[in-house]
Amino acid sequence: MLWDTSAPLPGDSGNQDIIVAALKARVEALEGGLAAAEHKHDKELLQLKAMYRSRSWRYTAPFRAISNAYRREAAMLNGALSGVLGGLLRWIHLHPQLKRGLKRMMWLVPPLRNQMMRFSQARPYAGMSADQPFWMIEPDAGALRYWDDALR
Amino acid sequence: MRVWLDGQCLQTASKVRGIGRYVREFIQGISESTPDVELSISFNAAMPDQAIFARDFVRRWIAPENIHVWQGCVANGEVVERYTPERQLSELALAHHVACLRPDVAISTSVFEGEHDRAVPLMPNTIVDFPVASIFYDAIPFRFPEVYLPSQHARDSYSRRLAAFGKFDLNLCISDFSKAESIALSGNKRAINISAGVSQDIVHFSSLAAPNRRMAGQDFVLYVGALDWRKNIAGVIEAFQLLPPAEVATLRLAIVGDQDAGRLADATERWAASGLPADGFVNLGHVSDEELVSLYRAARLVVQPSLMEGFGLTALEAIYCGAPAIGSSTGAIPEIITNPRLRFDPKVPSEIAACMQLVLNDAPFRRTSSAEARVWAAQFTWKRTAETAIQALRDLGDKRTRKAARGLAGPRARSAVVAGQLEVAPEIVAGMLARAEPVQPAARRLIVDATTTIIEDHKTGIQRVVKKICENLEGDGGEAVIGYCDWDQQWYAPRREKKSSGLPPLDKRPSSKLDIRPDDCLVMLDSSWEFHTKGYSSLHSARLRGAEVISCVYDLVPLRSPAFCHPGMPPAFASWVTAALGYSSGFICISRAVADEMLALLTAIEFPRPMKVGYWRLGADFLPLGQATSPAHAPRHRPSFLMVGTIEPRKGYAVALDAFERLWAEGVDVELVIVGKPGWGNECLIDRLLKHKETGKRLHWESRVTDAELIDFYRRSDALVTSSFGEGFGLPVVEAGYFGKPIIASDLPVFREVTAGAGSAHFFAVGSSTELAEAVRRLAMTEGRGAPPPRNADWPSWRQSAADLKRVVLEDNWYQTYEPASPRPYPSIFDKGAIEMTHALPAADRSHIIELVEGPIPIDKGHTSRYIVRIANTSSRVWSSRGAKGEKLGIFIGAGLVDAKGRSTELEASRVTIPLVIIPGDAHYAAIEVPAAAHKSSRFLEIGLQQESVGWWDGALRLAL
Repeated sequence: MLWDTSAPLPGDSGNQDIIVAALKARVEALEGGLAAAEHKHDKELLQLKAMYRSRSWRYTAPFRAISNAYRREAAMLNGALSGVLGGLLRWIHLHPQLKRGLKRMMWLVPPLRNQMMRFSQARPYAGMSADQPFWMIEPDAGALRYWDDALR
Repeated sequence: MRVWLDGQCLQTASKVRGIGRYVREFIQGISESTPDVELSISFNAAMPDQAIFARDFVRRWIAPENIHVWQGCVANGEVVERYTPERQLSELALAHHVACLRPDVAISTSVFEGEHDRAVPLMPNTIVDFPVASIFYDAIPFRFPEVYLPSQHARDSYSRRLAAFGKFDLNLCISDFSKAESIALSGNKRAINISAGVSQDIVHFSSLAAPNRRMAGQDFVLYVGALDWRKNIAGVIEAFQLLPPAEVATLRLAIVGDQDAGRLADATERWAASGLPADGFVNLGHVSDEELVSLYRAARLVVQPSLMEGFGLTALEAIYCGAPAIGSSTGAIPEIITNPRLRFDPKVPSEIAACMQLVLNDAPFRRTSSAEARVWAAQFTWKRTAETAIQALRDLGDKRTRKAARGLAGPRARSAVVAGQLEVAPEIVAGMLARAEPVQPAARRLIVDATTTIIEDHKTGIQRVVKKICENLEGDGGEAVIGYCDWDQQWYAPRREKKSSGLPPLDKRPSSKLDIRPDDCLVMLDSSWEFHTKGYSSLHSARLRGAEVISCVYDLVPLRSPAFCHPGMPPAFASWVTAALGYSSGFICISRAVADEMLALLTAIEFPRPMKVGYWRLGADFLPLGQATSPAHAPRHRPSFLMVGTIEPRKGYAVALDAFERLWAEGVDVELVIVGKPGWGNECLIDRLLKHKETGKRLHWESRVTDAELIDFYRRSDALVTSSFGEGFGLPVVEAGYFGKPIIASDLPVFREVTAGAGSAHFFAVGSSTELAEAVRRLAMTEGRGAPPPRNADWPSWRQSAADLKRVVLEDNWYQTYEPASPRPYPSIFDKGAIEMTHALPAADRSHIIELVEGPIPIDKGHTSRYIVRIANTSSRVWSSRGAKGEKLGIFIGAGLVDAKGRSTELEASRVTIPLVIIPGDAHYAAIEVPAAAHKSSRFLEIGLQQESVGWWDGALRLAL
């Protein structure tokens, strides 16, 4: 077992006392901080419970339920629409003639054009961001074939 | 002998710590001291950005073809994830990678990497059939497990790695102390002390006698290093408390190092709590090696109070620089500080204080001990370390009988056995092992990106260059390929059919797939800002493999003169430049003037990495003179001046029209001929041209002409006028030179460059209609009538231009290589330099001049007025609209209205951002758009600069409405 620290090492002159003292001081400081945090937490919990019990909170509950349901539905609809529109843009990009025609048409309606440009610029189509790198090196095709065959 | 090194310690946090520094110096020592050793190194592509900058960094010592990448597949460190099957697979992949490279000996440079990150160091294994050595630094976590190994996962990970030292063929230890520790802990007696040396940079700067400026005239004790617990800065602070009050009143403790903010705050708090003078604790932060040497020399004492050290590099460097150094009597420090009177027990502050006092007060002892120590320190060189290590590795290699078999068969067979035992899906194992196999070297290729033009030809100037270069790529040596990248980041090499011209059609058959190889050079000739939606991942991957990515810069007009561009262009161009600074290994420009602008930008923003910058001349295939449609010397009534180019704000047609109106008003009989199609944003000028009283008489505008007709215009004219505010090249100037016509051009560096061989060129201040009028008058009166005969200008054809491009890129024929003024090791590829404002600027850094260039220009059917202003940054600071860390510190160009009572109102809608930066000494053209309705109740319009959260700067331009 490598963690048998009783085994003397060259140059080891015993420093457990320093470590123990430092850790004790740290533990005391943390215990003090923990007590203060617990006190604050209890106080805030009481305030929160009082608010939930209040008449105004109970009377406004139906409005909140409606509002939450609307937000949920709107978010789902928005996500679905974004997905469809994103796919459509990608498909259009692969068809240059159609793209060219649509672009000409959109020049005639500047608000629509601006809206579409904003939308397309915000799409991380490839799922990659320059600030979060996860690029891969591509394997040599021959090597990949060999290993696929060898390990199948 | 071929020696392979694991480069992962140059990718992880170790790169800026002692281990990274040791390995860097070790590599440098081997490359300089043992030229018969062929070094190779591999980086882990699972830490991609670090792999790219580490690859660039080691290229100064290791040949590019010997720098490899492999890919691990762990998502986190072993302390977090434990010894997972993915980590076992990654270890196998690295072993397989090294086995395929077949060096004579491999060195695992830092076995403890990957405890908290994605590194997977080389471990003893059954895959390689050559010796594997390791470098053993220390076992500090083993000695202080309560502090450094707080969890069972951490202890398990450390144990596994420590146990590996028992199986390496040789442990290269950095001191006698570490050698004894290595043998005691691993039981492996195959260990030698290779020691360490004084850094080459320290040796270099110690021969120069530059005094330190920051601590000039101050008495200080110097501490160099991190502030973690084992470094024992607390002991030094306690020792300071024990010094005599008179000493403490003047003596300071100076700390050098890139410190963790929390630890620095702890040390500062400890100093303050101890009752020592508040200004006695000085944090100098990270310093250059040059400044470090000057600090060693200026210090009264250097202290290394660590509870444990595997070597003691700080003490060695301080002694080498002639500084008196004291240090603890533990670990390897006594091997450096040999005089026992200069050592102390680090746990006893009174001993530290006594040792400090001895050196501070006993001048004769200080002198003699320092001189003796310096003689001792001089023997510690990286040359000695490298030679000792290489000799030991040679002996190791000689003891093994090398098998004659080469190729991949052996490593593949052995790896397959281990791979079959792993609990990982076979397809993942196959992918990892395939990625681990080095790519076979091949001839260097030039891949020219033509993606955007292949998808759709908008017939822009850039696309014309792309087509012309691609048409002329073949021949003149070196393999050249036209490249297309699809949405899935796959590159293709579409091929042109025989006898066809133009770009090849899009071809995505599997046979057209293009795998980017380490020797390839990818030139992003097309407008590659299209790539931003794809995250530039294929370009980053190409860099990771070792390929060069060269970005082409046609001009920097959208950054320097956004007023003359379509509103969408400057922000798009700025984000392209910002991204290209990250993935590019070089920039190639279409003129020397643009290359100079690029270099000025890199210098001003203190770009942190070296960057190759070159230029090549665009081609011009002139039609034969015989194709003209009219005789060259048709009868003329008056001197005729020609302008060629699209009608857009940047071309400065309004300046020329103003100049000619002035001349006509003065009775000068000259003719202005404009040839160019209408562009964007100049409705007002076009209206002026069409309704001008001289139109059809002395003012002519031809919007659509054929090439043959254009030749006629050149031949019939007496001179070419170009009044552009910004250009990257200037083809009309080249064409006028070909026809032997005098040129009157705005004084832009690029026009001076392209008119260098022309017969007659006159320049006027950019935007000055007065100077232009004067130049036209002079030419009309004196020179205009006696133009030199047409001559063939010394200008390359497109074929020569394509050959020039290949020569610059493939033969490394660069104009200049930008080097940062204060280089830092391993700058991240995401570090783009000083392109954000970090603080509120003082008055001295806000110095500027704002001038009105043109305006008000009615646009939007008269609902809006446009003002073009020129802003000259006369300070020494770079200005940007971006604030660091989201703070509101960006600088903007804004407008405000002043009413009759002197009250001002800011027009928030008119605020304009700086696309990237305005560099010191540069002029920036911005357009401010003000609603016409806002004019009604106001008397003045003020245009000025403001810094967010700070307010308006003085010196705003006031215009009467």
